[in-house]
Amino acid sequence: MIFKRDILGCFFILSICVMTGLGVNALSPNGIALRGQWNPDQGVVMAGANKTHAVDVLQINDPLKVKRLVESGTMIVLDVRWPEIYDLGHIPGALNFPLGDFEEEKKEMLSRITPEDEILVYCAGVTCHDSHTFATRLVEMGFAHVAIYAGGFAEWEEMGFDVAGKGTDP
Amino acid sequence: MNKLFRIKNGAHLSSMDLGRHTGIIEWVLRLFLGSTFIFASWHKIVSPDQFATILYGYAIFPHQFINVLAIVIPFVEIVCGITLITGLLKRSGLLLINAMLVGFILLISFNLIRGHEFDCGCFSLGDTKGTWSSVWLLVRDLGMLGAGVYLFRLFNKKDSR
Repeated sequence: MIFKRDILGCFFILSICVMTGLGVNALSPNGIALRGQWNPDQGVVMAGANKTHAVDVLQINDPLKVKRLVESGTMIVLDVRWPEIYDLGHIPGALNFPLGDFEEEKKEMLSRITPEDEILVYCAGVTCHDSHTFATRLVEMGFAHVAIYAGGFAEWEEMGFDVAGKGTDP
Repeated sequence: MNKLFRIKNGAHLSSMDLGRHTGIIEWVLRLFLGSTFIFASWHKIVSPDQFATILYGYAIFPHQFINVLAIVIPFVEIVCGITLITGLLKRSGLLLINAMLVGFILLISFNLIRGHEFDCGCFSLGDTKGTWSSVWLLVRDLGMLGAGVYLFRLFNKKDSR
């Protein structure tokens, strides 16, 4: 049997949870915005950081524009997926620096890119956060020209653009 | 008052023994459900962004509510777990736990029926996808719901004495 006091208790617990959750989220460095970007047509879908910790990174949603930039060779393209997945296929010329090895490979990465370079970061697709996290870290390190390819490798492949495999980069 | 009960092997068990056994079962279930929900909430509290992405992956929740759900649900889990273990508002905590389990079961069933693959996000972020994984989740949640309903009945029996 469910009593009235049980129901009141539920509301009391829920109120405590809402207040604590919002409070902790507001103060936490991992806190998220109250509304996220969940429309794949508008770029990488993600919860987004709460305002205190937000870093704005340019997102490119147009695959044809990405293709032009890649072919022009003016941008350094970084693939932040794991090496095994990168080896299966990646954007031609992309360098592989997995997000998971960011700290370990920082030195090697900094020998290949400088804060003045124009950098394009991508990962698996619109539901993948790694490109955003990676790009945010670069911006925090002082890199001024960092952009994200929102569609990631999934869209690149879907568009039928050239794909490089293991050891097939020029 | 020492009414006797006959059990399968022919031995006799007094109501006092039965009460003690019920008490132990109640404690075990409270500890099991409480600690499971506390454990399950932790990674979601630490990484709300990843949990929000998992909720998006269920392809059920309205986009404008995903972040708020990702912020609040883990705290409902941890607080209900604590109420169950400490005994403070344990009936209400258990009601919410059972309600959440019913919700999880409906979510998983709905996605199974329509063939939509998703990450559970139950105990870690990035659980394996796949139909069998979803079936296993469903069985596990049904088992936990059974334990939750039984525990609530034990609470009722105890309160009616």
